[in-house]
Order: sequence, then C-alpha cells, then structure tokens
Amino acid sequence: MNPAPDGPDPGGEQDFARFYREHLGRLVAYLLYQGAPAHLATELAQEAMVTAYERWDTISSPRSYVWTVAYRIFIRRALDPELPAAEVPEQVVLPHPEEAEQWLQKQLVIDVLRALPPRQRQVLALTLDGWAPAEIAVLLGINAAAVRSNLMKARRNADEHRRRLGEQDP
Amino acid sequence: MTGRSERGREPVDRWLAGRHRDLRNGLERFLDSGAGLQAAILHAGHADLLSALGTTLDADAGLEAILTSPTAGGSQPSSAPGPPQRESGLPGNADEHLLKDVDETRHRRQLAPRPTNQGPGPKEWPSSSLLGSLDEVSKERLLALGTKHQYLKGSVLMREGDRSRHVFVLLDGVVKVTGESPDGRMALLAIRMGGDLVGEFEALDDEPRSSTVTTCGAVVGLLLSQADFLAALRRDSHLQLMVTRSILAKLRASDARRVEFAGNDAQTRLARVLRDLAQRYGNRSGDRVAIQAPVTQAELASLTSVAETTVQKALRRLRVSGIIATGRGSVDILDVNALERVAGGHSDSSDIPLHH
Repeated sequence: MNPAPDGPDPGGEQDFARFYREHLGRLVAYLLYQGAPAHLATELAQEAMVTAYERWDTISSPRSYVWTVAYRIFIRRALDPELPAAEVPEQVVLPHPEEAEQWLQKQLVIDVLRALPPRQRQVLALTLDGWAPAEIAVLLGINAAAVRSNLMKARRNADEHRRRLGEQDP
Repeated sequence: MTGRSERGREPVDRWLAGRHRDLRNGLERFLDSGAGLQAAILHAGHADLLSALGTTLDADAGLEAILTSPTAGGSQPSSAPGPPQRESGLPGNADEHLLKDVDETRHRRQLAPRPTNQGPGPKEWPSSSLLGSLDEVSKERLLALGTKHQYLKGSVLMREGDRSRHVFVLLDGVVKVTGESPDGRMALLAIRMGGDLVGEFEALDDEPRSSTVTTCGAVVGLLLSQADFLAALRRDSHLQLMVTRSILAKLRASDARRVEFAGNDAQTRLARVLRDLAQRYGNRSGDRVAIQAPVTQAELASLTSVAETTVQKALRRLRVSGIIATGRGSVDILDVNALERVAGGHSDSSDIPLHH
C-alpha cells in the first residue's frame, strides 16, 4: 500500500474519521467562543480538518494541530476579511446556518466568553473542552503558571459577566 | 492542580460547565458531521477532481462529491491531473468503497436521459415498489433526475441523526434500514430493494434522518437532491400521488407489523416475517423460494422483535420440519404451504407485505 501524499493510508482514513466526528463540534464551539459567527466557525473548523487530513500521517498531535491551524486562519481572516474562503462551503457541514445562528444567539455562555480578553477566553474555552493545564500551556506556548492565572481571572470575569446578564446560580 | 477540583465546585464553574454542555449538544444537532467528513476527505484527496466536475456545491454536495470519487483503478477524467488514486471509501467501515463512473456525473447536467447501457441495468420493478407503480411518463421523468451511482456492500447511504436531505431511488440491489434503540442496540427496521424510494421522509419534513440506510450488496441508485425531488413532485401530480401512496404503504406496513406481532408467539412471527420477505423479495423456482435479501439471524431477530437465541430455535424447528433451509446469510423456503400454515395463513394478512 503506497501512502498517498495527499492523505493517509486507508487505516489512517478511519482514524481521521473518528477524530473528525469526535472533534468537529468541539472545535466549532471553541471558535464560537473566540468570536466567530456560526458559519465562519464551521468553515474554519472544516478547513483546519482538511489541512490536518492532508498531513494526517505526519501529525503527532492532531488535536493541537487543528486547534492551532483553525485559530491561525481565524486570526488571519479577522485581520483580512478579503482572504479567499475555503473551497468547501460551510453549508455542507452546517445545512441551516440561519437557524443555527438564531439558536446560538440565545446561548449566553458564548456572550460570557466573548467578553473576556483573548488569552483568558482561550484558556477558559480549552478548559471547558476538557484540556489539561499542561496541554493548554503547550498549545498556547505559555507556561503552566500563566495558564493557571489566566484561568483564575477568566473565571472571575465570567462570573461577573454572567451575573450582569442576570444568570442565576444553577 | 489540587485547587482546581475545589474550584470546580463553585457556582460559576457549574454554570459554565452546564452551559457549555448545552452548547455542545445543540451544536451536534446543527452540524452534519457525516456530510462534512465526506467533504473533507474528498476535498483533501480529490480537490482537482472536484473542480474538474465543475459542479456547484450545494447542501448535498459533500455527499455527492464523495460518492463520485473514483476507486483505485477506476477511470479518472483526463482533464484532472489529479492526485494518485487510493482506495477511497467512506471512513469508519473498511469495505465502504464506492464505485462511480466519474464521467457520467461530470456530464450529468447535459445528460438528461438515463443511461441504460451500463452496470447492472434497471429491470422490471415489483408493482409494490414506487418505480413499479409509476406510469411510463412519470417513471422516465423521475429516472432522468439525479445521478446514477453504484455502491459496494456496506456503503452508508444515509445515517441516523444526520441532517442530510437527499433521496435515493434504488434501481437495483438491497439496502437495510436500521435504527439505534435507546440502549444502543441496532434494530433492523426494514429492507428496501430496487424500485423503492429511501430518504423521502426527511426530504419532505426536514427532520434529522430517522434511520441509517446501508447497502447489503452491490446497489445501483439514483441520488436526488431535496430540491430536485420536491420540484419533481410539484410538477407531476401522478408522481406525487404514487410517492404519497408508497409512504402510506410504509406506515401501514409498520402498523400492521405491530398489530400482527401482538399476542403471537415467536414461531408464528418468524414464519410471517419469512413469508413476507419471500413474497416481496423471493426468487421462486418450483416450490422453492430463495429470499434474495441477505439477512443475518440477528437481523431476522430484530425484524421479528425477539431475541436472537429465540430466532435460532425457531429457525431450527422450521429447518427440522423441512420447511426452510438456511445458509450463510441466506434463507430458502422449501415448503411455502407449510410455512403459510405456521404463519397462521390468514388470507387477509397474507396480503400485507411487511416492507415497501
């Protein structure tokens, strides 16, 4: 079996399928928290997944890889909205973007995270997704102490913000 | 890190965790990860091919695109320098390989009439199927829509919970319709064959897929987008009527099965399932009827709504009585009349086919 340069061998394909199904929603949620609207979050997630798939056999940590790629494209796109979009439209992945956006507008947790400074937002979003502080430190290229202090600040700010929004304790 | 678990009990953490979970669950409803996955794999491996196809990507494009990806050794359009071909298939299942004549799709917008000269060609469809019930005009019109695809065994045509909206008109072969029960077991809900329509419920009501449709062997089908399907219904009142009838027949069959099964023992129920399968999918030669749908014992069990061990016992009894012969994934009925007697032989219920 010759490994194709444009993707993994068939075994890797199944690996990728599992990874995709497990992480697509998580990555979209992460991007939503960072401020991307639903259609863009889906598109960026899809683009990052495609990029990962193309290099699947050479990536050691797929999760860190797609999170990094997606965030990087997100920032690039935010700085330059004219950049060409991915060729695969988000509509394939998100068949009803308007409905999704409408529903998302009611999800206050997004507002709460978006109100945070970027670093705190990233650390808190990753923590909610189940990343360990050490993994977050590696992903963001900061030390563990910085992760902890950002997480503390993020939680404090999030608490204040959710109270301002009138959210009660569960 | 010790402090983390303590902090985890604070209200803000519970609030965040709860709302995050809600968000994730809600997102899963909106995201069609099946279509996305297919699109991703296709995009990575066959980007050149996609542009060669020159199709406008729409909601069904992800699926359609992967369905049109060539298998290793298959033909590839000469205009696409293209990546080396690999054995492509839907992920998650090793034998979900797909066959497709790419050129056919590439030109499908110019190719209105259905090509009848290739593959296991369309044949006469049973009158109980949608295609068998249509008049020539409506049949030709329907067959001119969509793209013809060929699938190997084990391909998933649609997956439960996905929000895809396409419709398949099965031309040849057998598919299984399965659903997942709340405790995670797979239940076989129905079998459909050449002439049948699958996926029309969701094309009509926009709900998530209610079941998974998997090919049981080589299958040839027409893939129609929701838009094309609905437009065809609007244009053609005969088609509309027949589609409505086929949907009603599916609903009636599922009602009938529920009523028939109430208060009957496993042996009777199994005999009825076999009889119905034979009526609809049987291939008769002399007194012997071979059921062409390859069903496993586990699937017979879920069709009969009894435990697999019970089905095995019931099958054994029928076998010992010389009524049936069983092989690997095949059941032959040796004595139709005897089976009919075990089934109860009500003349009224024998008219009710189990599946449509």
